[in-house]
Amino acid sequence: MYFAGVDIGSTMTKVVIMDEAVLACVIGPTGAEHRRLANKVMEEALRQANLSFDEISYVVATGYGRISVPFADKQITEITCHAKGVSSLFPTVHTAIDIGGQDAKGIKIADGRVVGFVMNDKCAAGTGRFLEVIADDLGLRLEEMGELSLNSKNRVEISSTCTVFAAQEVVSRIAEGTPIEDVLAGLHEAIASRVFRMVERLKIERDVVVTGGVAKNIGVVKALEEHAGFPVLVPEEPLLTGAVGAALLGKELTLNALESGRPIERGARRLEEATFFK
Amino acid sequence: MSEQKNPEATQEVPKRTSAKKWTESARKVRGLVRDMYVRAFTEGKPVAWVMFTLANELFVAMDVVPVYPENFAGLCATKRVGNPFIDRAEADGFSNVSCSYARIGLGYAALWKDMGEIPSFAPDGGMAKPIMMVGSSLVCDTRYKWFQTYSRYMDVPYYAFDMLGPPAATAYRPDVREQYIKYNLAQLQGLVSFMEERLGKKMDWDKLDEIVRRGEKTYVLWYDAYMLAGGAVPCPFPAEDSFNCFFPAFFMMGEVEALDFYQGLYDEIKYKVDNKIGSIPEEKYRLLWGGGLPPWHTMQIFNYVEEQGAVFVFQSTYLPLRFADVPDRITDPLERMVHSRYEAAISRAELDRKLGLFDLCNFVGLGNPLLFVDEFKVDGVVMHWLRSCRGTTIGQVYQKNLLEERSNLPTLFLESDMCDVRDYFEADWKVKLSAFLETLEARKRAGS
Repeated sequence: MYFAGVDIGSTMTKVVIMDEAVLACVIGPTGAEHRRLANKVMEEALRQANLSFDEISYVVATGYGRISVPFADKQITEITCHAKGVSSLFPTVHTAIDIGGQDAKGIKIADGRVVGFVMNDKCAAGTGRFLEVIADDLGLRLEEMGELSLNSKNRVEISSTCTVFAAQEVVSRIAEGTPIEDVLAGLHEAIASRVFRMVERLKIERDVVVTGGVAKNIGVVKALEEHAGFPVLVPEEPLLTGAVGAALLGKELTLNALESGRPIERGARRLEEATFFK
Repeated sequence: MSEQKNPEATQEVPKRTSAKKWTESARKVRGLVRDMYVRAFTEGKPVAWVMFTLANELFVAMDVVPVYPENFAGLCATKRVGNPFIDRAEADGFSNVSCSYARIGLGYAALWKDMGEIPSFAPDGGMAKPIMMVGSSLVCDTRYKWFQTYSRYMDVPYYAFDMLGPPAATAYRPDVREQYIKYNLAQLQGLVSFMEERLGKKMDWDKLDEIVRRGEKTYVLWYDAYMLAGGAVPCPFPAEDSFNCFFPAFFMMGEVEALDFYQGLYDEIKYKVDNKIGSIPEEKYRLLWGGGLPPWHTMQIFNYVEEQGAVFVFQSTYLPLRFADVPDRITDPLERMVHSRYEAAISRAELDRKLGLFDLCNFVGLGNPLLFVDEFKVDGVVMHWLRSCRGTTIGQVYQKNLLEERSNLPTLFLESDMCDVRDYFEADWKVKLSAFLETLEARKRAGS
């Protein structure tokens, strides 16, 4: 049996297809033009796995766009899906920190299930958007920011209160002649500090796993480790944990239904464009 | 200020934000609210703008129509017309983190002054021109300055009175009781003198006595109805109905209609409890609204969780006061008012003390959720952090920690504001609420 997880985040759409192991995973942009084309990401994943859509036993959609996916059997929130995905990769996890394009969240996990969570609210500071804005202002590629910041000798303090203020602060620091690596290190510290404070409300416990696009930034990860006082774990592909969790939850639902002789509750799914704006 | 407008001119706002009502009683409240505003225009009686004071009986006795700007702010939020008033208040320099109830009323007063007439988008015709303002210290400190500022915009006299809640640790001591009762009595006497001067007539003490005693019966029915509903399985009276039905207790106390309302509510709940009539079809999760004012701008959110099999069986924000019988030897109606309120306040403090809790309670609100979770068979607690209300937000983290330590119940914090819709992010609320219900489901499956 095959299962698919679809995670429509604010920036990227992720699809994972699996049976016992992951058979295909595709990451595509969610951006304004692409968001209604989540089905294209799914089609690409099906191509990779050499499967037809009808061969997929169960599809779970998650992420902020989950409600609009017409080809899902069920919608489950990203909190539950991330927890499932992270627990499957790191069974010793007790705290997951997910920093995505538009939100950051902390999830407290016990025995693989969610026991508490926190999310940021209505603010880009402390999210991937924060880094995107600054990268754009500085003419840097997102991918190079983390490594560059590791060369810092004298990290400067950047406001973690507001992305717009921080962007102005960064520009004025650069104009003052502050080395870019010191500015970036300050920026990463600002994100880590804000996220850590929020997640600490859950009483952080080891092991801590960091996921989401920002987990690819080694500067932010190091800054989080400084706050925690111990190393954190990062999956090989930190963008995919939500989609992996969604696929695993689909599998669990299906197998539980089969075991108990109940019918599998499927949605009237259609592999077509999502309708976000109806 | 110019002439007031005809309430018939009020424009209805098409977008529905309010929640489905589950009880006949809750369905009656909208009419009572509308009547309050319309009466102020049409009855020809003097009008007072009043802070929620626990002293409504005095206005009833003096034939004054009290209009409550706090309620008006909630009404504006429900109709999604509050923000133009908020913008106007902020343009006068009021901070965007000052109380949004206050900002809506202040913006209303300022816009009326600017335009020379009541803004046409004010719901229910707006608040009629008062001849006096009565502010109070009850609940929070914003209140003194809030009504003083109204009085300047509207150019009418203002009276501020203090209604002190006793400190829990010493409230039972006779000397403390005596001092507090003496002080609160003097405050009420001062209010009566102010009203007599403004109205040019004396208080009818026999009439007040009758009204106060009616109020005492009303408080008891209010308390009994809410507590009966909270413990019932299935839940006949979800929190969104309860958030509606406190209106007569807060803003009509002493009136015959308020007594009738709570008798009707009690009877309706009793019937539903006896016959096991709930609200939602399948009650999978019982939630407690454990603190913070509700999001008046989007009460429909309560229906969102109901669609997923969850119901808020109780809210501990607007807790009814548990009135002790006032001894017959106390015959002065003002003294009876002060006694009953003092006893109600310390009865709540006493509950907290028995649980060894730090006292966060005063006359209203802030009932500790821990008091209700076992009795009302609650699966999870949701609290609301309000950007502009310290009075009901302070202490929530303490309460959450207590819940986790003593009951091991999951808790969820939602963030927004009671009226300022700019602080509300619906997608975020829906994700959090759905994830919370998934957490409760996983917990049930794991048997914990």
